Amino acid sequence: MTAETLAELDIGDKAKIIQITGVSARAEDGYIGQAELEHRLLEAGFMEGEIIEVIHHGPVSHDPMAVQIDDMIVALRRNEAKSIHIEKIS
Amino acid sequence: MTKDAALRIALVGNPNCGKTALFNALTGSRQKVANYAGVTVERRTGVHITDTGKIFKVIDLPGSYSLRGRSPDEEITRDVVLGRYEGETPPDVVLCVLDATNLRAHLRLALELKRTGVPMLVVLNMMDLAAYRDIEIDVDKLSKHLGVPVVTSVAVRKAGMAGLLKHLDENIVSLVPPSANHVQDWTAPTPEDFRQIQKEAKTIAADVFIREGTIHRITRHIDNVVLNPFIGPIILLGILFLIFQAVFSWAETPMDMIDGSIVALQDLAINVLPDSWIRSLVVDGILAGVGSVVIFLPQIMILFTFILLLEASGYMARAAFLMDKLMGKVGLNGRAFIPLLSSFACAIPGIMAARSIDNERDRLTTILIAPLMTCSARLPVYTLIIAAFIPNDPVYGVGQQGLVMFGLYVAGIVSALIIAAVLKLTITKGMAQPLILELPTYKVPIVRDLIMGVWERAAIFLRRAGGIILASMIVLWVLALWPTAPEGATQADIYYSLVGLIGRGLSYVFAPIGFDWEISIALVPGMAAREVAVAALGTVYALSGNEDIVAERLVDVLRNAWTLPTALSFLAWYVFAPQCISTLAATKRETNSWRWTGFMVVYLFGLAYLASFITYRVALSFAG
Repeated sequence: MTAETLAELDIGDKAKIIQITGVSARAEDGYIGQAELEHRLLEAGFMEGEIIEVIHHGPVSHDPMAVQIDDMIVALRRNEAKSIHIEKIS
Repeated sequence: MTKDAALRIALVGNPNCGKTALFNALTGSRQKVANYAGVTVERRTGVHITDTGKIFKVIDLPGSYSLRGRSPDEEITRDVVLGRYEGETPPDVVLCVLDATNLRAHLRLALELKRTGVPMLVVLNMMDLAAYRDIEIDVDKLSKHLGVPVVTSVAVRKAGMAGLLKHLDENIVSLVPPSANHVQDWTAPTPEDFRQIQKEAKTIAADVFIREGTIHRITRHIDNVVLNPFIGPIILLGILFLIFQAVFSWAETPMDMIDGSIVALQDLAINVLPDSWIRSLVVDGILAGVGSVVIFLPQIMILFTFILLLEASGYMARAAFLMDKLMGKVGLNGRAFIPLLSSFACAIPGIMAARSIDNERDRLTTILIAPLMTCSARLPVYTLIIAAFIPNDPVYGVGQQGLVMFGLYVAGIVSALIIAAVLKLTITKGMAQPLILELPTYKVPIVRDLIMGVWERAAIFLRRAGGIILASMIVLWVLALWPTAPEGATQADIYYSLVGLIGRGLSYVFAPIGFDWEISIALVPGMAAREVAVAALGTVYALSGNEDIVAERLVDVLRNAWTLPTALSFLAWYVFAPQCISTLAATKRETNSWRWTGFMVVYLFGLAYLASFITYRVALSFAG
């Protein structure tokens, strides 16, 4: 079972990051490449093995979402969250 | 290096690490803001004098998450640190500022910096907030891990700076290596390198934390309300309403006072000076020019007080979070809404505020639509035409004049959204960018930083708008007087001047939208700033006296001279037309491109002509 990504989680869900691929749903012209997205997510504090918790989401179709990583809160869209593979803890 | 040559210190750190507060604490009022050549990144420098009189040059580099340089700001930081930036002497020492309450994340930048080999001092900032959250860090251990000295600080309190100041005074010189070129071959870290750095940061953090403390509970509590899907947007709307209210009603008194003083000065000049070209230059050129710039200062200062408050407190990132989905629909970024909001006061601070949008394309779109927001310079024009042509009979209990004014605001907003959407489908096509945004912990804004920030914005506005408006007012004043009217002239003097000549030429172009030569002439000086059109109309209709008297008499004159379709067409023109040289100058500066500035001019004048044409023709068919 590998399919679960951060994009499918809801407020209150906790998860462990398994892999950051940088492959998002959107791959149109001009959108940043896979390596760039991977890099930006790493810079924001996402990393394999980290425990994260979804704590808020946006008013329209639950997008974007805010995630607690360590001491930081990072907001991202569900589109980019698709490239973060996780294992749900609770 | 000799003892008294000024040492160059560069401040580097993540956004939200308290770097600006530290910079202000170090340099006080001895600072200067300029731009790096060719880009719109601000270059902040200052001078720090130690207790024993050593003089340091301090440079505050833009906040960066890494040295990878993924935005123009981050590129500057990287290049200056590595000594690669042309025209900037490499710093002798880098002060790496870390937020003690977010050590694990901020350590990554310190580790990256360490790998470059630049001489470095680490400043562990926000120690007060760390203590409050029960975080305790072994500073000596951290220093051993990093292999560089570590000093703690509380930049927002004088006492909290003592340790750092002492260190700068006594030890910093010893950090500077004898030869300047200390940076070895540096290559950007790959994702794998970055994972390695991340791991190292975690290991160090695990070792240096004596107590890890707790998460910032207040932030969580506030966010539970402020980011609530139902209450959050309502709070945001409330804040926007408050800002609007403040910009327009609180600014009224100081604006009236400024207006009053300008009018008084004009009266004084009229009484004291003999009727000559000198008097005209003073009254219509210089005083009117200065007045038209200074009058916006209260609004701009109030606006920036709010913007800086929202930024310093941490709310701004939340606003972007809440707005992201909606703004995304028309191809904009959540961060675009503050620049657009600012543009209701004046497009210039709005265009300047677009710097906070890190994506180049989103920033461009925001700048291009900013002039469509109804700025306060349009109000004198709207007020004049509405007072002359729209009866104030209530329709369903609402005054018609108010309705028309409201309609003009809505017309601007709606067309801005449409334009943004069209740009998204055409010029900025497929440029969707991810939003990855840190939501910083809430902080109480520091009054000193707030005052310095507002003052800095006001000064930038005066410098940028002031020079251009004043200069163009004087040039236009000359063009409006020269050549002088022939003997036995039947028209106002301006008719025979260069401005009159241009205006009369333009009147052929403007005839289809209902503008006669009087209006066409008034639009020429009206290029300096929108509200100048009122005074220009006064000149065309040969009214004299100070601004207030001219505006009052104009209502009657226009009522007789213009038809209703012409008046409505004129209003439509002012919704779109970029009748403001300083906006165009700001656009040129911020986009660094004549092409985009030209595009803005063409599309806005095009829209203005189209809108006026439709308005005029429709109104004519109803009136006819």
